[in-house]
Amino acid sequence: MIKLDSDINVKKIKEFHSAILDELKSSDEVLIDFSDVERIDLSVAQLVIASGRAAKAAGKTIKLKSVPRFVKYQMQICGIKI
Amino acid sequence: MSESAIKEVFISEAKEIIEKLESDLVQLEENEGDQEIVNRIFRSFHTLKGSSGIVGMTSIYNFSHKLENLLDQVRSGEIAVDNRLIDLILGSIDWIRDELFTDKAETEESKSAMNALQQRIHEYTGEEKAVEAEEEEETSGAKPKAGVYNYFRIRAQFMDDVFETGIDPLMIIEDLLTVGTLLTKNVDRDQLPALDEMNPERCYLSWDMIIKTLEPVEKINDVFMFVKDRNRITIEDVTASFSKRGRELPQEKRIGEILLEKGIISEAELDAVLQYHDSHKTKIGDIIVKKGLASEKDVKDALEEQEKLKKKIELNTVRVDTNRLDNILNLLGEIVIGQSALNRIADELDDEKDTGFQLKNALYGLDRITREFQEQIMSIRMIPIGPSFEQFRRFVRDSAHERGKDIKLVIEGGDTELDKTVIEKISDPLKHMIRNAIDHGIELPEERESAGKAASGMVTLRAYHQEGNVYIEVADDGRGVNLAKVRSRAIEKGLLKEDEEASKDRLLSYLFHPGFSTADRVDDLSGRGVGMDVVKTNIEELRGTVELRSDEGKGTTIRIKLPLTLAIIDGMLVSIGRNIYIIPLLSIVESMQPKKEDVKTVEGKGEMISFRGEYVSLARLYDLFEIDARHKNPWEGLVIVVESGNTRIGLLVDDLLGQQQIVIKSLDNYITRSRSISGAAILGDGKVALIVDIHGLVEDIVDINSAG
Repeated sequence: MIKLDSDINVKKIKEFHSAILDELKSSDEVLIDFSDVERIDLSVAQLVIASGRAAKAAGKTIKLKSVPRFVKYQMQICGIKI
Repeated sequence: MSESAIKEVFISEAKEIIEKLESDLVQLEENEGDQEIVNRIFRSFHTLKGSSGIVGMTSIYNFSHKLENLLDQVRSGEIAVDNRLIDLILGSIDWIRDELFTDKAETEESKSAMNALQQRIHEYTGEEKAVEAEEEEETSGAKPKAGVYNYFRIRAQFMDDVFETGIDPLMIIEDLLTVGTLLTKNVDRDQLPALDEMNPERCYLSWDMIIKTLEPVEKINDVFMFVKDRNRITIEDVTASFSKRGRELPQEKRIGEILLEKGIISEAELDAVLQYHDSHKTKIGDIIVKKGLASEKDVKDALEEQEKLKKKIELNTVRVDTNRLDNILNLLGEIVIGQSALNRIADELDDEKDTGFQLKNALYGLDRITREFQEQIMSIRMIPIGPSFEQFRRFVRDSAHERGKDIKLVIEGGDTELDKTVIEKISDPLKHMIRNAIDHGIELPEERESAGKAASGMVTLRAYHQEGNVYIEVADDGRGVNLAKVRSRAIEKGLLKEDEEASKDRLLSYLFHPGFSTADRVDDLSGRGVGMDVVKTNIEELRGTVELRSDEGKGTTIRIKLPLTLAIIDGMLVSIGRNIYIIPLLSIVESMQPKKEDVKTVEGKGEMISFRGEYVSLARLYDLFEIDARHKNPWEGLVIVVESGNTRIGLLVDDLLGQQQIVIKSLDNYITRSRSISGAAILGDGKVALIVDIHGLVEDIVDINSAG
C-alpha cells in the first residue's frame, strides 16, 4: 500500500512515481491511500491515470482508498471516473 | 513569466484588491442593503482566492474561500449586514494584509489569529452549512444566478514545464468552474505517456470545455491572467449557438440582467418584459419604466453600468513599471537637449542658404513631435485620484469609532487625474489633514446636536482641475478653528504681541508654524503639534501650496494646489554672471527694472523695492549662491518678482534668457540639499542650469530678514 502525504503535489511526485512503479512490479493489486490528502495537483491526477493504464495493461489492479470528496471532484475534472 | 514575477504581480494586484475591499466594506456599512456593493465584495474575495491559489499561497486561498462563502450568504440574504459583520470582514482583511506584507506571515501568532477569525466566520455561516455549501460547489460548480447566460468555449493547453513556474493547471480549471457551470468537458489525455516513460513533473493533460455563466468574458480572462502569455489558452464566446436570446438581444438583455441583479425587477417580470419586447420591438428600458417596474433613474444607472462594463471589456491594458516611464522621459529629455544643440547650430547657419532654412524647418517639425511625445508619456503617468481617496474610507471609519464620533467620508472628483508620483506623495499629508478633521474638527454627536447640526459629521475629499493645476480639498463640517485659542497660543509662543492686531488670515497661517498646536491633549490621533507644518513642507516639496479657510461653528477647508506633474515645468531662464538659473513660470508675478529711488533699506526687514504700491524684500541671488554677477545694482539689472503663498519677493538677476519647458533632473545624490534649489536641467549647449525653489527661497529670505 502507498499512503500519500496530506500535501502530495509535484514536489513529491517523483517519489510517488517510483513507489508506484515498484509496487506494480511486486504486487498484483496496488492500494493507494488518500485518507490524509486534502487536495491534489495535476501531477498527481496524471500519475493516477497513467498508473491505471499501466496496471490494466499488465492485468493488475490499482485501488484508491479513502479519497476525500474534494479530491474526487478534482479527479473528475481531470476525467478520472471515481 | 517567472514564478517570482507572477508573485510580484499578485502582490501588487492583492494590494489594490484590499484597498478596494476596505472602501467597499465601509460603503456597505453605510448602505446596508446595497446588493451591488455586496456583489463587488464577493467578486474581490473570489479574485483574491483565485490569484492566491495560483501563486501557491494556500493559507490565503483557503481563508479567502471561507470569506467568499460568507459573502455568498450575505448576497443571498441569509446573513444580514451589521457593524459586527463589517468588523469581522475588516479584521479578516487585516489578517490577509499581514500575511502578505509583513513578517507575521505563517507565524504561530498569525495562525491563531486566523483560527479566531475562522471561528467567528463559522458562527455566521454555521460549520455544517459551510460544509454543505462546499459539497454543493464540488458537484455543480458555481451556483447559477438568475438571469441570461453567456456561454464560453475554453481550450486550455499548458506548456509541459508549467509546474516549474509554480502554477498548477488543475487549480486554474477549478477556479474557472467557480465562475460558471460546466456543460461539456473533454480532457485530452492522449499526450500522457506510459507510466514507465512519463516524466511525472511534466504536464500532459489539456481541456476543451464549454461553460455557462452570468459573468462577462473578462471574468474568464481573469482566471487565466497569469498563464495566458506562455500557454495556449483560447476563450471563445459561443453564446449565439446556445442561447436564442443571446442571438437576438445582445445589448438589451444586459439592462434587464443588471436590474435583475440589483433586485429591482424579478425574473418573472424580466421574462414578461422580454416577451413584450419580442412582440413590440420597443427598447427594454422603456418597457420596464412604462410598466412601472423601475424608475427612469434605475434604468439610466443600469445603462451607465452597462456602458462601464463594455468599456471594461474593451479595455486593453498592460502594467508598466513607472520607473520605465521615467527612463523614457529621461531619454526624451536627452533628445530635447540634442534638439536644442541642433537649433543653436541651425541659428548659426545662414538663412539665405537652403541648408540653413531646411534644417530649421525640419527641426521645427521635430520639435512639435517631441512635445507631443512628451505629452503622451506624461498622460500615461496620469492616474485618477479616486482609488487613493477611497483608501481613507476605512481610516475615517476606524478613527471616528475610536473617538466615539459618527463621521461619513464623501468623495468628489475621484476621476480627476494627476501624476502618479504626486498621488503617492500626497497620501501622507492627506491622511494628516483628515486626522485633524476627525480629531479637532468634527464634534461629538451630542455637541453637534446641541449646536443644531446633524449628529453625524462629514469629511469631504474633493479634487478638481483649474487653470492647469490640480486642487485637492479636505473639508469638514465641524466646529472650525477657534481663532481666540490660536491667538492666545501665538502670544504664548512669542509669534504675536499681546496688544498686536492680527487678521484672520494671519492667525490661520500660524497653524502652519512648526510646533504650533491648539490641541489640549496629545494622543494617538493628533495634537502633537507636529502636523500642519510638515503637511505644508511636503506639499511645497511637490511645488504646491496649501491654504486654510475656516468658519467658526461651520467647519474648515484646507485647499492644496498642485502642479499636474512633477517631471516637467515651464521655466524662465535667467542669467547671473556666467551661470544660468531656472525660475518656475508659475511663481513669477512680473519682471521689472526698478529705479534707483525704488530701492530702500528698512530696519529689521533688509533691502526692499517698491513694486506696484507695496514694498517687497529684495534677494540678491548672486549673494545667496555666492557667485559673481554682472550687475550688483538693482537699477542696472533686472528684478523678477515671485510669489509663494502670500509672500512676494524680488530676485535680482542679470538678464532674462527666455522661456522653456524643462525636464527636471533630480539632484538628490549630487549636491548638498539646499532649500533654494529644487533640481537641475540640462540645456541645449550641454550646460547645467539649477532650478530655483521659490518656496524654499522665500522662507530662507524671510528667516534671514527676521533674524537680521
